[in-house]
Order: sequence, then C-alpha cells, then structure tokens
Amino acid sequence: MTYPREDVQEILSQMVLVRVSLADREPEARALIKRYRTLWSPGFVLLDHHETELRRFLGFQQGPDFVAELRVGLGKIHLLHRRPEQAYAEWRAVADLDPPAPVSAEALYWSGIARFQQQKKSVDWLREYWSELGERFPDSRWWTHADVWES
Amino acid sequence: MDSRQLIANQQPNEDHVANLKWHANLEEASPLARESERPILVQFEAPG
Repeated sequence: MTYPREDVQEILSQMVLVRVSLADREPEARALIKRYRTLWSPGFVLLDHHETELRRFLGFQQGPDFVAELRVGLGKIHLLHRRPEQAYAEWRAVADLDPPAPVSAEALYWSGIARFQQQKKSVDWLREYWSELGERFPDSRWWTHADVWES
Repeated sequence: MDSRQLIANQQPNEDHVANLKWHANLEEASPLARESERPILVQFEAPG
C-alpha cells in the first residue's frame, strides 16, 4: 500500500516509517506483530521517538481523514514532550476542518487541554473550548467526555 | 464515496509516489527516530 496524495506524503515525510506484513515470518516482524497485536489490517500505530505509543487506528480512510488521524496523534506527541503550542496548532487545524473530519471533535477536545496547559492550567480555557465542542459536535462522545460542568 | 474509491486513495500510483523510505522493523527505525526526534508510524498490512 502506498500513498499518492501529496498531503499524505507530506505528513508521512515527518515520520520514520515502518511497514510490516502480517504474514512476515522474520523474527523482528513477528516480534512487532506480537507486541502491538493489531487485530485487523491495515493497522497503524503511532509512536514517539522513544517508542511510546500515542495513537492507533484501523482500516482504510480517505486521504484527508488519514492525515487528520495522524495530526491528532502528532498533537499528543507534542503535548507529551511539553510542546503545548505545537500540540494546539495540530489539534486546532483538525478541529477547524471544513467539512469536519471524523476526529475533529476529538481534536477540539484536545485543543482545550493544550490551551489549559499553556495558560497556567486555567479551567476557563477548558470551559471555552469544551463549550464550543457542545455547540459544534453535540452528538460526539467527546462532548460527553467534556460535559463535566453539566453533570 | 464507495469503498472502492476509499481504497483508491491509498492504492499504488507510481506516477505520484513520494520517495518515502519504509523500514522493515523497529530495530532499523528506532535509532533514526531517536536521532532526529521524529515520531514512528508502524503500518501493519495484510499479505499480498
């Protein structure tokens, strides 16, 4: 499987890429398959440079949705490594996609967390972003996760 | 968009395939990732 779209190629070029066939009998490949135990293909696991897993997802997706998935994962890597501004940039871009991607609501949820981390952990930022979540994605499970003040 | 179109977005297109380097295992990829502080994407594929 390869990627003809330029936007997909651009984001993949920011990563070190590993491709494993589930039928590969080489010991290194078997170890990788056993370690991550993806149950379907194609399966994707995004790791930081210390091999910490930050995101995994399954199945074919349209190019823009695939890029959005990866950007949500990149945001988590930035946040883990104390780069909340870069995390925010990734997530906000996905949240603002028009039309939204399947992960846009999740990206908006995380945008609030990035702002919270940037702005001296003020819950006002969570309220602001998560209120937007309720307005734009009221049927999303991410709104359910964010709806802490209404419970 | 039907499933054939979805798959077409991720199917080979030799005219446009970028010069992306794919590694066969983490033993190859991890040192590069650590050195460059780049994330690692592991893709598991069905045979064939």
